[in-house]
Amino acid sequence: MTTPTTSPRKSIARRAALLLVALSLAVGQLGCEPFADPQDFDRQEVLIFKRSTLVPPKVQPQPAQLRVVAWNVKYGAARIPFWFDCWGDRVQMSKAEVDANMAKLYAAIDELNPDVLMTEEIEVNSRRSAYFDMVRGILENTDLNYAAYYETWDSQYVASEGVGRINLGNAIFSKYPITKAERIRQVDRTDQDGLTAMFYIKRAIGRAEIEVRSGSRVVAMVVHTEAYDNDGTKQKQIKQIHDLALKETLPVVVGGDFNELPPSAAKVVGFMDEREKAVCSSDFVQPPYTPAVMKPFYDDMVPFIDLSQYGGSELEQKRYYTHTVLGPDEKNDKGEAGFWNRTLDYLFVSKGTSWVAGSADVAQQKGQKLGGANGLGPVLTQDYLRLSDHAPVTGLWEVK
Amino acid sequence: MRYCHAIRAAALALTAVAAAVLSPAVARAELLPARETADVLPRGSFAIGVFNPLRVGTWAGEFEVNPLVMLVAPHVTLRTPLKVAEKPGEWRWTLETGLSLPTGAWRLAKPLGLAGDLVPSCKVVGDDPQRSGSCERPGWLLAGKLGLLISKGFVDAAGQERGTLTLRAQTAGALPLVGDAARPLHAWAPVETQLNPELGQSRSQVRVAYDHAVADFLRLRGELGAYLLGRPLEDDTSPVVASAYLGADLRTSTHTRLTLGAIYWNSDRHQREESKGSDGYAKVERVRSHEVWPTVDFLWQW
Repeated sequence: MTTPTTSPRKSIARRAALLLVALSLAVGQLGCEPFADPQDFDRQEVLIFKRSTLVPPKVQPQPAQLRVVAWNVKYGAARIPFWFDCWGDRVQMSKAEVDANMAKLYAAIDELNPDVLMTEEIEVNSRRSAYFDMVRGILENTDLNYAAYYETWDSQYVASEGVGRINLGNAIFSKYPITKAERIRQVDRTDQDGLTAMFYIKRAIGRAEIEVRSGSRVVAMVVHTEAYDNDGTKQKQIKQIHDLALKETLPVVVGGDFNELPPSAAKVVGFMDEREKAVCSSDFVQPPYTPAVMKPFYDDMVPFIDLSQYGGSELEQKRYYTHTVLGPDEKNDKGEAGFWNRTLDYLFVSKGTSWVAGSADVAQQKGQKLGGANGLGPVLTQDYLRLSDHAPVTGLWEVK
Repeated sequence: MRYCHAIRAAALALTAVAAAVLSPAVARAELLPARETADVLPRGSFAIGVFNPLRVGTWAGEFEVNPLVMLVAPHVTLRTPLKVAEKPGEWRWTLETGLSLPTGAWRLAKPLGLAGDLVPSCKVVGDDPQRSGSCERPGWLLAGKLGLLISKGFVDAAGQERGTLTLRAQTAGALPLVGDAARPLHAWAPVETQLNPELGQSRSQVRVAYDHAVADFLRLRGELGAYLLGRPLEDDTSPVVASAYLGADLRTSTHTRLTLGAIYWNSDRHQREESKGSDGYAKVERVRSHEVWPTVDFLWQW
């Protein structure tokens, strides 16, 4: 019996294969930034940001009164017509454009003077907004001292339309210390193919515990629900927000862009900022609204504008509209200039707490007195119609 | 982390394929020649890969075109030998020049072009010309390149050139014709590096490769590259890019070979990392990106 031998050629082949395995694995260890963050969590603590130099806030009386603002800031794009708006084709801004738009946002925030600011569509490192860190920008250029950023969309590169790197999310800013911040995952859409879903926004609720006085904490929750789904995702997300808010044991304020109309909305279809014929991707067609899903918030929490104040006609409700895709300097297919035409943004607080009379409003335009003619003011000097496609919603929250 | 697992799985799969094709049956006595050196194809020879462009040896040197891209982005590269090796192991020098008109590829939609992928499609303007001010399509331009390839062979006891060292230095730029230059893509490093001149910017590169025949049917190749990408004034992205490649070429028949490998890229892609600072609050720093891509192709030469 002879011992099997290996031919020199086979030996070389085996050694070459082993070398390739070793080298490939060694090299493979290095590239570890995911193409898109899958945001694989249910509930996760996030880091808290602090202003480089703190601005001492006023000492809160008993009961505490906190000026709260929720605002979808459209990643500092103001009224630049982005491609998915279907009124233009822009995909990115220059740094000068973002700098200018952010300066106007800072001025508006100063004017509204929030103790707690909840922002949606804020970006910290996106190509389309010139990689501007808007969380740091707001912290360093307003009187807000602390922030929690809740990333909802983090992709290395979105090739579609050349969007590029995206890091978008929601944020909660506060003059008072944020003692705990966490993001809570919302359900994802199920009506997209795998590749689209991988690079698509992942919705999350941002939650922050804020210490307004020693030993006295409140909870703020910032939300931004799905806009374009056709599978009931938004409705599930809204119900989740409602259920979580009701479970809170601390006083809670929920604010943000719900992408949904109030239950008594007089107009539910045919908005003036919609195209008469499709000119961009069908991915951005507004699915029918389902206002009834907002009713539990009006039943179980305290809205910043209750339904009796909101009114029953379009004329009455127009005063509280918060959104228009079309800006005032652009005209729709009928030649009408853009103006706020629906309510999508809200503030709700837990029962047992309240809104100070004459304080709650939608900051729609220059010259408007917040809270109405008999309201607490101030009279607005900033041009809110040109700062974002959403108007800020605000109120003075009284917490015993 | 899933990305890492996928890369490792791909690397293993490629290696398995490599092992499967490492068969003595495909061996030939003559060494498999090195690729991407200063040597040009002999007159009348052709080479093409599934992904690699078509190369044709002519009296004037070697011409290179990519037939799939040619229709929408006419282009050609010419390699002209300046010094040819008289015998194995000698130095050889080759001049590389190229010209392309890439704008058609940026402006046409799929499947012919890339509009809507990497660059804007400007669909709205197509239906509503009043909005033309918001369209950011790349303007028309002519891109050119000029380079030098220098190779030196290393001969074994049998007089065969077993190792080949190649230095490639090249610079590429663009001449704007009509319209605005596009902004840098800030895409994955291999895409960014390849397409930067085609978007109206520039790219200079120096690459050093060593290619060694470990058997008559198998070559291993390693390459280091350094690139300098042109950037607009307002762009604060680092222009420096580095790469490292490791791979193997396997003869699969008299006229074909399989190439397998992996390339590592180091570039600034605006990646940032958050961590908790010593004061308990968030700290953010910008870091360079690391990318690893598998490479594979099947090449014919005759």
